Amino acid sequence: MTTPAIKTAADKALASLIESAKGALPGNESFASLRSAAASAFEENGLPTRRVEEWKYSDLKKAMPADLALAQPVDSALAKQQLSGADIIKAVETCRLVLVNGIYSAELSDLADLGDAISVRSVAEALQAGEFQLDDPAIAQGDIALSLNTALLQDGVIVEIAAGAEIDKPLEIRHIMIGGGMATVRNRVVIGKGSKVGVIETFTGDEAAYQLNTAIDYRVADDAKLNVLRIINEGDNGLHLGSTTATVGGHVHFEHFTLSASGKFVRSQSFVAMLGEYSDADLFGASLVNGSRHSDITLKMDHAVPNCNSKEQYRTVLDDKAVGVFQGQIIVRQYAQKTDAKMMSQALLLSEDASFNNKPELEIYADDVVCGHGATCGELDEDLLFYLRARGISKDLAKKMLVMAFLAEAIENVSDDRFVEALEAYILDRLGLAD
Amino acid sequence: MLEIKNLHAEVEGNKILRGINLTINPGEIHAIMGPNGSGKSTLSYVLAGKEDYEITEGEILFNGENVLEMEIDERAAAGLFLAMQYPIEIPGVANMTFLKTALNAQRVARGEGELKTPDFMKKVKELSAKLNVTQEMLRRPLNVGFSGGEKKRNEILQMALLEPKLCILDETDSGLDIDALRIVSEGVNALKSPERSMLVITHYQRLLNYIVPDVVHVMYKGQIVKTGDKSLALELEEKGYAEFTGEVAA
Ligand SMILES: Nc1ncnc2c1ncn2[C@@H]1O[C@H](COP(=O)(O)OP(=O)(O)OP(=O)(O)O)[C@@H](O)[C@H]1O
Ligand SMILES: [Mg+2]
Repeated sequence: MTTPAIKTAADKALASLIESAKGALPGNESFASLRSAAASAFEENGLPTRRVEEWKYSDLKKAMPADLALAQPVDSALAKQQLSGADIIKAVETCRLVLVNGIYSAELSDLADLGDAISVRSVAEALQAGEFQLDDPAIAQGDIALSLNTALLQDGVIVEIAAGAEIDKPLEIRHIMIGGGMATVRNRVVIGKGSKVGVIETFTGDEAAYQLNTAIDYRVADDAKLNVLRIINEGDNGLHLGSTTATVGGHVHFEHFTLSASGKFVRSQSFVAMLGEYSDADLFGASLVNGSRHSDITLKMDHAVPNCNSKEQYRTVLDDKAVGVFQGQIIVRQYAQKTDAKMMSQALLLSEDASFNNKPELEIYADDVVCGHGATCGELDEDLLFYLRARGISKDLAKKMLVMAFLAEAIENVSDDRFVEALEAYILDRLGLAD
Repeated sequence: MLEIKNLHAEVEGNKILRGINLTINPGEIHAIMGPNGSGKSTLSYVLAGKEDYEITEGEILFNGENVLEMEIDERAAAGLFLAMQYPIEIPGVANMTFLKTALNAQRVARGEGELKTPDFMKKVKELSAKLNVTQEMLRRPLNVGFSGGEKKRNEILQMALLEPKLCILDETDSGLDIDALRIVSEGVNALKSPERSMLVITHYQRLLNYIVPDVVHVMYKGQIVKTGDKSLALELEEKGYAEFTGEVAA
């Protein structure tokens, strides 16, 4: 028996947004039917309640506002003004793709050093031409954030990196939200066989209330090396629903670091499918959550083939009345022998009113594997605080130094020195420790 | 410099300090000896401001100021320094960053303004060379993986850098090899001045051959039970604490 869905104001707002947006969204006829199938699920059932297992700790129904509208196109002069303020990785020189309110802007992008090995195309254009297939990896099928993404998809970038290319400057995909409203983006990055590339995704927004549903799909061919840095730096009233899907070939090194640093409600989810043997995937991250913010990191790691390693290591700092969520699932399928999969989630609670929900899940169907998970949740060590203060460092500064120290151990995992520098600079600045 | 009057302190209801009286004048070096568990480290922690202790009676004046009303970091900025018996490891905080932050925090608190990075580097290099603290140890996270002796040398480096008015050394000599003991003692002696006082807690008379005390105290069960000159240390070395504990030394 299914419980009849109770429609909240947010559900009704979403249904009417879907209805009114129909004419304005891109895509040819075959995509339109995919879109309306996704949309009708929301029109019928609304947003997920906390009874839906994946959304148990993150109440999307409650987080979505009761007045929803599509974000408006932004005047390019205004967008230009916001562009430099949205540069949150000054330490690193990049090639830059810019999306404003979900729409790719070639004008604001900086592709001067892109070279021949990278091609870029707008998703809206590809959808119109019937040249973009939305085939999510099996492990992400049916995901609610991705379905919502399909229902309202506006634009994004398709980046293709040629086989064997070694891209020197990282490629930044910069998302900027201006003036409020809802935007829906889907990007795809196709990494050619044997290529080496760094991608940085950044998200910033102004103070207006907005909802960004963003998805990125990495298709990593054999022998490639992909390093991703993702910095979620949304505005104080921003809602961020972010999905990463990755299908990983053989002999690949895939490293991914997520920093969840701001935004009113953040759900950052990753679905990684290991499809080729002898590959490594490292999912790292850090979250800094304060005020009454909510930050959710959800991971699904799927080992479908033998001889792969995966690591997930996340650190979360929670202050004030913040809520943190870590849901990590590792699936090792029967055929995936000799898998080495480890997961660790560590939280630091700076306030008694903050809370942390940790849900690790191992589903192991193979017998010759090494798998494990661990979790810690603690407060600042008083003895460490005393030592620092006994040398003349104020309580406030000593606390910040220890928070930085806690996060430094997460950043230590990152292999690209430029990413390390960018992360350190960002966090020092955020903590007020930059000199 | 320091006046401790009838100080009583307890932890979770256990009385540990039971009426300490101690006056240290500028330029004086005092040593405290005493059996394990007599309250020596507790006294040093109470002076530094560690929050685990409840002060039930008494007062502490440091250059006329009421220490018990000062924050831990205010005490440090006022010139009180404790070289700890067990220096703690702090992963993720580079030793060098820590030293610079501490020095500048104290300078700013005293209204002196921050030291410029090149000046700071010069000073640290000079002092660390004297104390045999390597560049590598300065780059590493604070005390992490340092040997016992390296941790103690790092404490003295901090002391030399911060130039406190009162240096409290809690068993700085334990765990030091013969050469390190000499290096550390030389480091401490280099800081001797008519304006700077020292309180040296130790179990071994040998340290006091290097750092010669003006006054030696014996602490037992949370009280100072005897005070004398440096010959008292020699006497204790010979006879042990039987006179105070009532037990006959083996
Ligand atoms: N936090 C605490 N909780 C409970 N007991 C404590 C605490 N701190 C100190 N004590 C007790 O107080 C007494 C004095 O300890 P303290 O460390 O001051 O001795 P000490 O003289 O420095 O000894 P040692 O020579 O071994 O270093 C001991 O019996 C110790 O167990
Ligand atoms: Mg002691």
